[in-house]
Amino acid sequence: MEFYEGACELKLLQTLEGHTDRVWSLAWNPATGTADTPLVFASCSGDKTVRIWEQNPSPSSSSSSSSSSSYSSWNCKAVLEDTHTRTVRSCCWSPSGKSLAVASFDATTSIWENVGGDFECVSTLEGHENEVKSVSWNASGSLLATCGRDKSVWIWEVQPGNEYECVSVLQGHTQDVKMVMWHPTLDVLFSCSYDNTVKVWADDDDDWQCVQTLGEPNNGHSSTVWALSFNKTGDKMVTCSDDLTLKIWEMDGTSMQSADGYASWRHLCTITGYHDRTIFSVHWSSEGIIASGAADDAIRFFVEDKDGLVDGPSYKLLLKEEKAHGMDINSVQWSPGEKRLLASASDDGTVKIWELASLCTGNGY
Amino acid sequence: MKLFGGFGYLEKKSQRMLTKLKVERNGTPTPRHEEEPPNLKQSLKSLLGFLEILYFSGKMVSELINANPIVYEKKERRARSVPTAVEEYAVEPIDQQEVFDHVRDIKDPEHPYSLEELKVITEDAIEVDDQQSYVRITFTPTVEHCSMATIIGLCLRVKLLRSLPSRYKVDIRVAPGSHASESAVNKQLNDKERVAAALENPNLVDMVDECLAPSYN
Repeated sequence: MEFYEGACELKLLQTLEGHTDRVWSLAWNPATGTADTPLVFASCSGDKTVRIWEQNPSPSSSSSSSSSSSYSSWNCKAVLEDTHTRTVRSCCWSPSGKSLAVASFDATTSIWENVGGDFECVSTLEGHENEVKSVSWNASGSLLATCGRDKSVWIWEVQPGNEYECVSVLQGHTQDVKMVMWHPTLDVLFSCSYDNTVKVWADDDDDWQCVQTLGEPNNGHSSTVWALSFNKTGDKMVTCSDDLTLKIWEMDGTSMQSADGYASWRHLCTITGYHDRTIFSVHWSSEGIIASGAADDAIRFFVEDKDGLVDGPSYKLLLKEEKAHGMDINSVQWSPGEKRLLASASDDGTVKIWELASLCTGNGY
Repeated sequence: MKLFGGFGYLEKKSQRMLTKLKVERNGTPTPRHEEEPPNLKQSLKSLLGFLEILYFSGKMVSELINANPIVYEKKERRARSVPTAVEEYAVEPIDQQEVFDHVRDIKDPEHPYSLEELKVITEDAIEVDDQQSYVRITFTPTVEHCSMATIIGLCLRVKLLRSLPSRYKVDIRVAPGSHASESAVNKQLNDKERVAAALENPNLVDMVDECLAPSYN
């Protein structure tokens, strides 16, 4: 569908308090948000805990979005604590939604499962020298990637009985690695770093290696790359950076199916001039709306500008929410499911749930 | 030759130095430290000058980075204007002078002088925009390869974190041309994830607190 500036509004549904330090990251459970499963997400914080939040089932949840109170009720269902001894930096649900991987500055990554209503730590992955900064499951849930301050990226294979075997330690970044993320369909891993680059890692006959580096010479970023996200089909990627820009990258269609199986990525366009402090988080919705959250306390939404094809593809600002939080925004994540919900996490210790609603067409979706 | 020590380097070094200092203070060195000279001056000297090992790695030179810094007179403390009865409930904007007062007495990590006395910080080097909730501090290390720059910057950041309202955005940088690794130092000091990790290291926090102690008097 088409999106027009001014045709949408962002409604704050609820502000969730509970963390006692900055909230670094959040992750929606991908297996929730269906007719019989209420939405669930996890948030993690400098207070060393993870909180699990669940939407209250409501009798009128299928009705109009205007009665926002009908589904603006969220409860903290669990607090995962007393496991990590330092900041919990990021978390990621497995594709099945059964396991939650949690990365901490204490150098470990823990795996949690909901066992009979209680979350239990079923495994702990050790190996990084110091702070683990990000964790990601691949599309099938058979591989896990972690990265951190020691400049390395680790790939773990999920074994029966909650065992995780490290299958590769990838060196290549020259500075700490801020985030890892698997491609939504292929077993190709992406990492972004304080060294200003994004690296693409692929498996060549059980030998993981860097197949591409997207850096300044490839129209890449000129400062720390903090996060990345893929569009629904996985042929485009957006990255965000301390250089105050977002960059859109496109997969070269021919090489994706090439004999060596490596996808080759090229710079498509740069979204610049919007955020005026570090952009920490970016997330591409399944509908094609890019949300970004930054240290300027604002959330912005971008969509592809279909009118601007003369000069090549471009993206336009759909909406901005200044002062979305009282402090830096560290993470923005779209929910799964029907409703166009976005969660944002901030240094102010809160998580906010927003709904992006279309003005002219009522529900709009 | 590596010109820039990140927080990681500081962490390791501060741990060693603090262990040493604690031993000196307790006066009962553990066997592990018996080979250390039981000389406070010596150990202080190596504490204060610890980072030059970065520059002369392998040579174990242990001298102050800047052994004889120029000490300047402190600026006269101006009384802040006293609000009249009418203004009593008015919100007073944060200004340059107020921010300067927060940081002027921070102790240099290397010398028993304040950042003001060493002209590492001057009032003019502080930019404040209260409307935009923005502060930028530009500090000038005493020598251009000063490896104390990151710890000074960390002290400034922590002090302002504890002093300013949370709405404030703070940028900290070394003065252009004043440091050999200017961009690396600036990038490190403004990466909040690295700062957060550094501030979870008790030894580094102890070091920062030592430098901040005088500014609370």
